[in-house]
Amino acid sequence: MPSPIWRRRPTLQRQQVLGLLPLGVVMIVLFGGALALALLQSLGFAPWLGINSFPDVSYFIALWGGASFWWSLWFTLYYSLAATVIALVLAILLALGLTRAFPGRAVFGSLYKLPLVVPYAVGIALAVIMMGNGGVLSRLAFALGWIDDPAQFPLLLTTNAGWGVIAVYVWKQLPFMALAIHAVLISAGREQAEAAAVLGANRRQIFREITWPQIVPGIVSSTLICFAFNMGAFEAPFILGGGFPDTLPVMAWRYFNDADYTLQLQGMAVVVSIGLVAGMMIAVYLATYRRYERSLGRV
Amino acid sequence: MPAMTSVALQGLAKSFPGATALAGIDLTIAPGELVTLLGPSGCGKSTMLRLIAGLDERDQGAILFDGHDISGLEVSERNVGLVFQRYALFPHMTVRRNIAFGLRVRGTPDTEVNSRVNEALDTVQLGELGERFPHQLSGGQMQRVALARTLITRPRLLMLDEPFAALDADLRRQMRSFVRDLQQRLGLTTIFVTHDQAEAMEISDRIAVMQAGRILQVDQPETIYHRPVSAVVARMTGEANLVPGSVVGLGDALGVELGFGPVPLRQNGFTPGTKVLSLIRPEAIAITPVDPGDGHGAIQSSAFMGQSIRYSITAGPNTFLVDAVSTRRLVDGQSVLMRVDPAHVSVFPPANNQA
Repeated sequence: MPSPIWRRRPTLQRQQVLGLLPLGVVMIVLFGGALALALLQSLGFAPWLGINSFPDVSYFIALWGGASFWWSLWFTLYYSLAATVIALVLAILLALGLTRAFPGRAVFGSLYKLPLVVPYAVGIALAVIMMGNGGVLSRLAFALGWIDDPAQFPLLLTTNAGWGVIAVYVWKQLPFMALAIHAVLISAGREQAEAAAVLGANRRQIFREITWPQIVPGIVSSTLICFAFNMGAFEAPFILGGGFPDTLPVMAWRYFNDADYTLQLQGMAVVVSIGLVAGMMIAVYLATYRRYERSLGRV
Repeated sequence: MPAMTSVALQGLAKSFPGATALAGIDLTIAPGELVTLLGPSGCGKSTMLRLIAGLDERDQGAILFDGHDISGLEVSERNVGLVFQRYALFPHMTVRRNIAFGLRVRGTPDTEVNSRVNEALDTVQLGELGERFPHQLSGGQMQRVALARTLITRPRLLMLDEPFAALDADLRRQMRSFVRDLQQRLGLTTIFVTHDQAEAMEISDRIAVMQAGRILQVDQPETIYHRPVSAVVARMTGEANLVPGSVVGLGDALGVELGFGPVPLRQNGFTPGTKVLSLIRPEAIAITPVDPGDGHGAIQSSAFMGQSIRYSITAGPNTFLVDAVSTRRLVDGQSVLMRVDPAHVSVFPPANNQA
C-alpha cells in the first residue's frame, strides 16, 4: 500500500498546475495566439477579410523585393542600435557615478529616475518643445546671439538622422539601464574593486578587469529590453522621424491604416519581419554573451 | 621575500559625518612584527586598515613606512596587502588568475607570473586547485587564495581584516596557526584585525586594544591579559572578576578587600580608603571545598567548560567567576575557601574604572 506522502504528491502537483492555469492560458492565448495569427495572416490566411491563399509567401516576396523595406530596416536598426548604445554608455557612466559619494546624491539618485514614470508621448512632446525650430534650444541659441533667427537653428527633428527619435529613446531608457547597472554594482559591493586597487590596479584596469564583468549581466538584460522595444516602437519615429522611408513599425502602421484593407496582410508581413530580425539579433547577442559568461566560469 | 618594513602611525585621525572613527592614533610596528587590533565592532579597526591602504583619506596624521610618509600615495602605489573579511575574490577568475592579478596589472612578464603563481599556490597548499573558480572552493580554501593573491605582490605590510570571521571554529584554529607560521617564515610586518580576544592572544606579538577610535593599550598578549591598564581593557581581553572595594591598611603595607579577606596590594600610588576596582581572572582563584560555615563563599552554579569547570561563587557582597581544573564537579551550595596569588590581582584607580 502506498505511503500517504506518496499519495499526496500528485494532488499537490495537480493543485500547482491548476493554480498556474490562468496565467498559462493568458500567456498561450495572448502571446502564442497573437504570434500564430500574425504568422498566418502574413502567409495569406485572413478569411474574415475574404482572403485565404495560405500558404502564400507573396507578401514577403513583395516586401523584401522592394528597396523601401531595406531602407526602413536600416533606419529601424539605426535608431534602435544608436539609441541603445548611447543610452548604455551614459547609463554606465551614471551608474558608476552614483556609486561615489557627492553632495546631493540622494536627490540626484531620485531625480534621474523621473523619466521612468513619464510616458513616451510626454518625451516626444518635450523633444518638440526643446529641439524643434522655435523650440527652447533654438530660442536660447538666438538669445545668445549664435544665430540671427530661431528658424536658422539646425533641423534636429523630422530628419532621417533621427536625432529626435534617438533623444527620446535615450531620455526614457537611460534611467532604466542605469537603474539595472547600478543595482548590479550595489549588490556586487565595493570590495572587489578595492581589492584590485590594493593589488596595484589603476582605474582603467579596475574597470576592464573587475567592474565590466560585474555589470555585463545588467547591461545584457537592460539592452535587450530596450533594443527590442526600440525595434517595435512606433510613436517616436512616426512623429519625430524624417518620413519616407519610415521605420518598419511605421511602415506596418501605414499598411494597417490604408483604405485598402487587404494591405493588412502586407502589414503583418512587416510585423513578422520585425520579429525575425529582432529575434535573430537577440539570438546572436545572447549566444555571444553566453560564450563570454562561459569564459568567466559563470555558466 | 619582501624587505621587512617598519610602520608608524602618527596622530592618525578620521571622522565620518556624525562619528569619529579614529581620534588620533599613534602606533609603531617593528619590522616583521604582528600587531593585532582588538576591539568591538565600530571601534575603528577596519578604518585604520583602510587609511593605511589608501582606500579612505585621513583627516589628519601621517603613515610612515620605514620613516617615509606614504599618505600622499595612490592606493595602487602603496604596495600593501589587504585580506578582506569576505575575501573579495574575483568570482569571474580562476584561482590562478586571482592570484596572478596583482602581478599582471603591474606588467610582470608571463613567465615570471606563472612561476610565482605556482610558488604562491604551493605556499598556501592549493597547488591542485589553480583552475577552479572561487565558487567551487570551501571557505578555508578561499581564504588561502585571498592570502596567496596578497602575498604574491610581496607587500611591505600585510593587513588582515577579520580574515577568519566567516570560518567555523576548527578551520579558524587551523588558519590562525597557518597564517602565523607563514607570517613568521616570510618575516612580514603584519596588522591583524579581530574582535576575538582568544584569536588575538594566540596570534600576536603585540595587541592594540581599541575602543571608540582610540588605542587603550598596546602590549604583549601576556601583559595585556594580566596587567591591563583599565577595567575596560580587562573586560575586552577575557573573562574578568572586577570587584569594587577600598584600599585598606595591612600593617605597614596596603591591601585590598575582595570579599574573602584582604589581599596584599602590589601596586604603588594608593592610600587607605581609596575606592578601587580589583581585577582577578577566573583561573587565578583557587577554591577548596570545606564544611558549611567554614568557607569564604558558596557555589551558586557551575558549568562544564571542557578543560575546566566554571563556578559562580558568592563571597561577601561579591560574586566571582572561578575556573577550576578538576575532574570532580562541586555541587551547588558547597562552601569553599578561596585563595588568590596577590601577583594576579590588579587594582584600578577610580579614573580607570569606567568604560
